[in-house]
Amino acid sequence: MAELFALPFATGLTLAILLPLVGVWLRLRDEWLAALAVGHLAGAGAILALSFSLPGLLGAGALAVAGMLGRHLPGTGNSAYAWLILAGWAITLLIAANSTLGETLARQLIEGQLYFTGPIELGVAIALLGFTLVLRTRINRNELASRLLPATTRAEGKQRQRLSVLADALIAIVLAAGTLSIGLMATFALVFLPAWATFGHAGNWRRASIGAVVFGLLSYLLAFAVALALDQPFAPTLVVTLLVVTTIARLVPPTGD
Amino acid sequence: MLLSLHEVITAPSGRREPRIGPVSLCVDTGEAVALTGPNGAGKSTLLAAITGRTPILAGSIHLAAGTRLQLVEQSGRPDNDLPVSGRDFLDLADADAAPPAPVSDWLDQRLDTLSGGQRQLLRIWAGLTAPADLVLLDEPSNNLDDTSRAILQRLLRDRPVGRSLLLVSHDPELLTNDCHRLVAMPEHGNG
Repeated sequence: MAELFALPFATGLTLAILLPLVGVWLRLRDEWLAALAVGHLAGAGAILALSFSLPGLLGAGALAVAGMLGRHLPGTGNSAYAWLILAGWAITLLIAANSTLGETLARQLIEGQLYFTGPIELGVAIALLGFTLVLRTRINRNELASRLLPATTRAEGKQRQRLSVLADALIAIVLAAGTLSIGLMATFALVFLPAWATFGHAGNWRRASIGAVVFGLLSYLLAFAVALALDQPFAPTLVVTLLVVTTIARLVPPTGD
Repeated sequence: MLLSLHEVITAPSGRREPRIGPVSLCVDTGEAVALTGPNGAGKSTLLAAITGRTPILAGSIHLAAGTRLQLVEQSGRPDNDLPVSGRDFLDLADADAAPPAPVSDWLDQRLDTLSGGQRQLLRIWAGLTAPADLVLLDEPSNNLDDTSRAILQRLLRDRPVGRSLLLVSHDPELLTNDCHRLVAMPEHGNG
């Protein structure tokens, strides 16, 4: 029994560290809605790829990266992400309804399928965590500088944009991997809620990043245990756990460090 | 000469009108030069042109080879609900992490718990002490009370030796006491 859940548990655990790290970048950008938009596109991309007998992650990653890079077009922002959510949702369900895969696969992507993940999903998650940790310091500085310090020269602005595009691609692939492993809403919850909880109270950037990961990890461990013990679907259990834990954290008045 | 502008005409980014200038000025090493003029004269746009973020329509801008610029704008994006401390901010700017009091008292506070004036002084300290040869300051005394203006003047005087300033301001006290020369913008344009 324990062996059956070992790989899915490890995959989810890796994502519970990875997705909150991505979440603090998206919240810093004020673009947390991107997580939901890119997740929808990843779902559509996966269904599209599978309907052509291609690997789901390939299609999910490609469409997710394309959607994320769209933020560099003029006039984009949360309105564009809302547009992408609707497009991704409609495309996913239409392709599912008109392919041999049927609605089952689309539902799995939306509801999550952690228990069916295997070594490939775990390998992808660990590789992405490795990339994220290696690039984290550079991306942190770049994202913070873009928000707080205007680029002094045009050359500096271009350099920042190059690193920002790299961050976009990484974020998009992480979101795609999350959507395919734990589902759309669980991915969104792990991106949005831990960052939301810690941004209110953390005294500095480092504490906020660590706090988000701690919230993600603790909620994941609790949700995994509850879902197994009570025989509940994992994704909604995780979302409820995150909602409760992070809302309590957000409501507690800051101590002033 | 660190920076020289010769008969520069520019316009707000991406447009050809309204035209700003012509402006000629120069800044030497260690010098503090003030750029003054009425609202809408295009002082901020001229700073953007110096940093290369706004194209110039005529004239020339010459920066000595290897000159590093710092720009401290009037205000950045709001930083509400952002877990960034004063120390984080100075680290991000590669600025001197040991500012004089009272700026040093704000280092362990989040930026969104500081007043607008305190944030402004912290940004100015960061700009003045970050690695740069020429610091462009856009209206540094705007919205500062008398106490904060006194602190600002102290920060400007205590800036690292040899660091040049190009300072946009309407503040007569700042212009008289802390600048070596004054350049007036022509009274037209919109920037």
